[in-house]
Amino acid sequence: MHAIIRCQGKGLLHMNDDPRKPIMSLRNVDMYYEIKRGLLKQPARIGAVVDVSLDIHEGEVLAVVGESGCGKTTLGNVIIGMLKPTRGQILYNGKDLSQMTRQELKEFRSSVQLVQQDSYAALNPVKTLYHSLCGPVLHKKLARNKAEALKMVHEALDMVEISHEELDKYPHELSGGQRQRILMARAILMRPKLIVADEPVSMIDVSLRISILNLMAKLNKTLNIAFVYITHDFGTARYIARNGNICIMYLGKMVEYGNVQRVLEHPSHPYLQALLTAVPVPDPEIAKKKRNLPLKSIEMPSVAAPPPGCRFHPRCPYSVDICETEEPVLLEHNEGLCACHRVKELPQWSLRADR
Amino acid sequence: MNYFLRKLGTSLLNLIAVVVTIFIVLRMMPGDIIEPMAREEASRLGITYEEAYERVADRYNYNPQEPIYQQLVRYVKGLLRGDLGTSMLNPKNTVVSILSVALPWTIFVVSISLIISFILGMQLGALMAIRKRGIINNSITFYVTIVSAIPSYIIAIILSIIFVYQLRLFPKSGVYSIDVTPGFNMPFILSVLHYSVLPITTYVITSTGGWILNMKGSSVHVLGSDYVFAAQARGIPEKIIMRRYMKKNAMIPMITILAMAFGGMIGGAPLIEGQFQYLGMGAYLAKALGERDFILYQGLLLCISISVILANLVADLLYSKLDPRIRLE
Repeated sequence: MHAIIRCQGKGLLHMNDDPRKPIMSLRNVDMYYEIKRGLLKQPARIGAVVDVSLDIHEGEVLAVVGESGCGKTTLGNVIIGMLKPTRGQILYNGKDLSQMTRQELKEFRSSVQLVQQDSYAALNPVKTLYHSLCGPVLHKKLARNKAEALKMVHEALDMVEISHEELDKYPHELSGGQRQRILMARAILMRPKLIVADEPVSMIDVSLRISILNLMAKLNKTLNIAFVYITHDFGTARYIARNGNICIMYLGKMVEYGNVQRVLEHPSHPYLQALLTAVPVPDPEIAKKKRNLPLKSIEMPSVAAPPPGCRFHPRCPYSVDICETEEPVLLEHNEGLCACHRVKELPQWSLRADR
Repeated sequence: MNYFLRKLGTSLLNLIAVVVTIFIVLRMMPGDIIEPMAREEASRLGITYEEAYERVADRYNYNPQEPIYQQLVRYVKGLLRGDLGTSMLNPKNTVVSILSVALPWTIFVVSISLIISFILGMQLGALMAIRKRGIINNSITFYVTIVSAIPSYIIAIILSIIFVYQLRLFPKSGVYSIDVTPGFNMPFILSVLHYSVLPITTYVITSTGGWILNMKGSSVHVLGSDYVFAAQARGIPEKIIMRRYMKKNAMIPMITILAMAFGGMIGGAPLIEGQFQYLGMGAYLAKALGERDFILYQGLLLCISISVILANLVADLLYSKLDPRIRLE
C-alpha cells in the first residue's frame, strides 16, 4: 500500500510511509465535457471524472474498475495527457503537465504510453507492422539509423513473443491477440515508465487473455514499467494487479481505493459490494459467504445530472437522509479509502476462503 | 492476376450490356429518320425511292425496316470494324472522325479542371477537418452551400457575361484562335490555354465544393480513429500526423472517386461546353440531341460509356493497390 491521497479539505493523508516518490500524481482532477444543446439552452456539463486524486509509483500496477460510462477511459486519457482536465493538476515526476516546456512534454509523451482496447483500430491499416513499429523509433530518434531501429524492434518483438517474420504483414493479417502484443511492443519501444492499458483484453478471445495479462505482468516485472489497467472485469484486475492497488469508480468519482486483494476480499463500499454480488464465484466456500445486495434500482443515473449527495444513494439499499444531501469524501477505512457516510456501520464483508 | 482478369471480364460484360441497351433504346424512339433523306435523295438523283432508301441505309449503316436483331447484328459488325457510322446531318464526317476531334479537347479541359479542383479540395477539406471552428471553416461552408445551389450553366453564363462580354478578356467561342497553326508551337499552346480558361474555371468552381466536403468527411473519420489518437499520445507532431496519417489515409477513397469522376466527366457538361461553344464531347452531345442526329448521338454515348467503364476498372484496381485491406483474395 503506497499511496498518498489528498482528500477534500483534509490535507494529505499518509496511507503508508512510502519513501518512493510517485511518477505520476493526479490532484483533484475534474474532467467535464460540454455538450451543446441548441442555441438558447445552456450547454450540458458532463462530469466524466470528478475530483479524482491518486498517485502512481514506479513499477506499480493500478487497476481502475467501473461500469461502462463511469469515466475510466476519460481518466486514462487524462493520465496520458491527451485531455486537459477542467480543474486540478497532473504531475509527472513532480512537474505540472500544463507548465511543461516543449522538450519536457516530448519526454513525457514517450514516458507515458497508451495501449488501446481495439487493437485493429489502433494500428494504421495501410502500413505494415514494420512501419508502425520502426516509424516512431526513428521519429523519436531513439535509434540512429534504420538498422539500429530494426534491432530494437526485434528485441521488442522477442519481448512480446511475436516472430520477426510478422513485420511485413498488415494489421488485418494478424489475430487479435497478436495485434495486442504488437501494441505492447509499440508501447515498450518508447521506453516508457508508465503504460495506460485501456481494456486491453476485453476484445480478445477468453482463452488468449491470460497470455496478454502474463505479458503485461512480465513487462511490469522485467522492465519495471508501471501499469494503469482500466477494466470492468474484477477477475483480470485481481490477476494483473496482484500486489497492486485498485480504484473503483462510479459516475466519475472514486468510491473505493486500496490494495487489490484486501479490497476485493473486504469490500467496504455498497457499490463495490453490489458489483461483486453480480460476479459468479467458482469457489463454493466463498460463494456461501457472499450476500445478495438488493439494489433499489438497476438503472445507472445520467452522468449529465448526477444525483445530489452521494451519487450512489438512489440505488443504495443502505442510504439514509444524509446520503441524499451531503457528498461523502474519501476517508481512510480498513487500510484503504472509501467514500461512504455509513461505511463504519455497515455489515463487514469477507470473501476470503478460510483455508 | 486472377483478380485483374475477373474485373476485366466484368467490364466486358458491362460493355456488351451498354452497347445493346443504347442501341435498343435509341431504336425505340419514334419516327423513321432515313425516310425523309431517302425521299430527298430519290428526287435529287432521279432514282426509285426503294433504291434511294437502300443507299441511304447503307451509308448510315442503319436500316429501320430490318428486324431489330438484324439491325443489331449490322451495328455490331460495324463496331467490330471500328465503324460507328456517319453523322446524319453532316454526311462527310464519320462519327469516329468527330470523336477524334472532340474527345481530346474534353479530356484536356476535364483533366486540368479535375486536377485543380482535386488538389484544392484535398487541401481545403483537410484544413476544414483540422480547424473545426473559425473563419476558414465558416467561409468554406458558405462557399460550398452557395455553389452547390447554383447550377453549373448559370455559373458559365455569369462568367461569360463578365469576362467575355463586359471585360472582353476571353474569346466567345471555339477551342483555339484561327490565327495560329495547330502544332507544337508557343502561339498555339498559349491560344489553347487562353480559350480553355473559362470552361476550366467553371468546372473548378462547381466541382471543388464536392471534393472539399468529401475530403472533410474522410479526414474527420481518420482523425477520430484510434491509431491517430495513439500517434498523438505518442507525441508525434501535429504536422506529421496531418501529412502521414490523416491526409494519406483520408485520400485513399478520394483517389478512387477521382478515377470515377474522370470517367463521368468525359461526357463533358453539355451546358458548360455549349455556353462557351467549346467543341468537346458535351457540345457535340447537345448538338446531336438537338438535331436528332441519332447515329452521332449513339457513337458519343458509347464513347462516354466506355470511358466510365474503363474509369471504374481503373478505380477498382487502384483501390486494391492503395488499401492493403482490399488486397485480392
